[in-house]
Amino acid sequence: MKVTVRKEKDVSIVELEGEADLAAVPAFQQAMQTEAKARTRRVVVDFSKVTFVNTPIWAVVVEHYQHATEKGTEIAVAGLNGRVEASFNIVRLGDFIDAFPTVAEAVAGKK
Amino acid sequence: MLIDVARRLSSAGDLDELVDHILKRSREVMDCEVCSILLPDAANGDLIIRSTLDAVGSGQVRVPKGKGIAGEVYVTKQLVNSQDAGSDPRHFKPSSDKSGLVTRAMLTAPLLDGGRCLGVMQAINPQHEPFFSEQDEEMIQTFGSLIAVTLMRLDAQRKAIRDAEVRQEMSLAREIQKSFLPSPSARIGSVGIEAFYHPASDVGGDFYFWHEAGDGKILVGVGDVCGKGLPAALDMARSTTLIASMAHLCATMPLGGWMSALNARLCGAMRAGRFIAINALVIDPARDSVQLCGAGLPTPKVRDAGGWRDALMQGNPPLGISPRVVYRSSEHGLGTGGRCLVFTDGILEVQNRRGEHFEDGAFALALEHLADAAHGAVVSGIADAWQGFATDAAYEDDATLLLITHEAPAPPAAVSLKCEPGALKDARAFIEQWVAHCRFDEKTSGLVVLGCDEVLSNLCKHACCATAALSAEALDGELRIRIQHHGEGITNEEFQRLVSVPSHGDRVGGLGLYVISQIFDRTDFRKGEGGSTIELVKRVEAMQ
Repeated sequence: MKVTVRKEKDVSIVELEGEADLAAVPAFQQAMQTEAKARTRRVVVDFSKVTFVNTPIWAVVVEHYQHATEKGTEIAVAGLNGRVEASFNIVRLGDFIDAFPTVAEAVAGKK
Repeated sequence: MLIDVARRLSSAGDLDELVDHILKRSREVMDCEVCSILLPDAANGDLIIRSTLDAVGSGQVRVPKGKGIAGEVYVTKQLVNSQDAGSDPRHFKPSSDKSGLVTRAMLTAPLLDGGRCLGVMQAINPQHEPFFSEQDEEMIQTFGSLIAVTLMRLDAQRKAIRDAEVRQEMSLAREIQKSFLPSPSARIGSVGIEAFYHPASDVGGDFYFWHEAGDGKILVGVGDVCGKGLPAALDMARSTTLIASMAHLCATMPLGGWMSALNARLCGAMRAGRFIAINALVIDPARDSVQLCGAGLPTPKVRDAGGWRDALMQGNPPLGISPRVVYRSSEHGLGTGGRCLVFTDGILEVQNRRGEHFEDGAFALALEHLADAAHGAVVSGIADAWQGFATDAAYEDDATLLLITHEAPAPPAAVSLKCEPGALKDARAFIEQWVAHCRFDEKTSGLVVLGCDEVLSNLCKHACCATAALSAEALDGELRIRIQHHGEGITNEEFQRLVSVPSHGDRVGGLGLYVISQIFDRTDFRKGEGGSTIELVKRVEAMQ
């Protein structure tokens, strides 16, 4: 899986591409830790180019959600489609993490 | 004394014992020389005498129907008190009565159940009076009422026993008949077979069959013996046995010729104008072809890339009527994914409460709805639609449905994997082939792949094992995935304990196990000294 990070104003966008499985956890974890230290207003994880996600990846999202909310940073996900959306729904992360159809909407914070 | 008699009557279970007791006690109560009960013989209406006289107590003495005072009382249902019965012209003395009894006064009373006369009771020759009094008349009528009620109860008991025996025999017959039918679900190589069988009563004349004929060919079909009940069931048993004994001939002769040969054998065996309708197929998976021969049943349906349609085939008359009939079959292509559906007329002709037949539209609708359903789901789907259509309506006929599907060759059955994150991609590719083979929809396919990945990710993280064996099979409408390894496993109890409902709070772990518990219909975690096994089962029907 490929992980890239870009910034739009005070929002960090962590873009994932490919299959997000156990092998991808270290790279994703590192990217999220870096962004946590950057103290941005919001971190958006972009799944629009992802074809598979499992729970070790969602566990990283949850872990950073816990730390970020303590520090006043918002965490959101965007671009969930097909199997990725089914994976997100079955772990019920939507109960507490905002999911946006597009990155643009996630950056704006408006659905 | 009457209370004692009533108590005895209420607990009586044997008619002979009961009658003997009644006679003995009534003779005491009536204070007479002889007491008798005359009960009708169901065969001819004669009255059979049971008496306190040993000589006539064998049940062999009869009063012909309508004869004597007893015969008259049985018909008129009116009590007769004769002061000198011996001189009464109506009196009838059976020639078989060797008792030497000289009849003087005789009291004859009907045993009534409402307006129905169950028999007659007689008291003969009072011991201390010349005639029977009005008080005696009341007494014998009271006795008569008690006896009538008891006879009714015994009759009901006997009927209940007879009914239970009949039910038991029919249940046995049903089981025996089922033993003539093969398994309703089978897979022979790349051919899947699925049947639905619904007899209208305990036993029926419908049947289905499938046999490996040899040379890779498979003979399948459905049949309907004319008529219903036991006679039809016996012909059904004869037909299925005959078909089984001749199935191997399909390997070397055209289906039409085989049906002609079967017809010739049946014509020699069928009696009383009976006949059998059969639709038969011979599938040759190696040549991607199917032969069809229809004889008296509705036209089969075939499904290819263009959807469901009637099979193009020539009709033939039912079997067992004329040995001179030449049966003709036709051959069609049956490529991978192709299906044939054969059924008896009971499927089409069932009526709902509005008087509509299943064939009027509901059948086509069910087929359309199930166009892309997996093999295992088609027959159950049609059966559900058929049974739902006829809810609360009496089924008119036996109904049988049989589907064959020429499936694509199954993916590889097993793969060996290294337990490391980089190998999970290979495991997912293996499962992808199986979910495609089982025709799961896109969402469910993704979830099944995810569920397997969760198990294998856990093995990588926690099991401390170098390799795992991953295998899969599609069987009985289920996809069964098995993962075996030699690392640290868990039991079903531990699995249940470790499952953690998702939350944003602190968790020990178990989110992956929660996902597994949500995705599969059954899971089984076993660990032993020889290694650990995890079985994940997903029903194919649940996907449609």
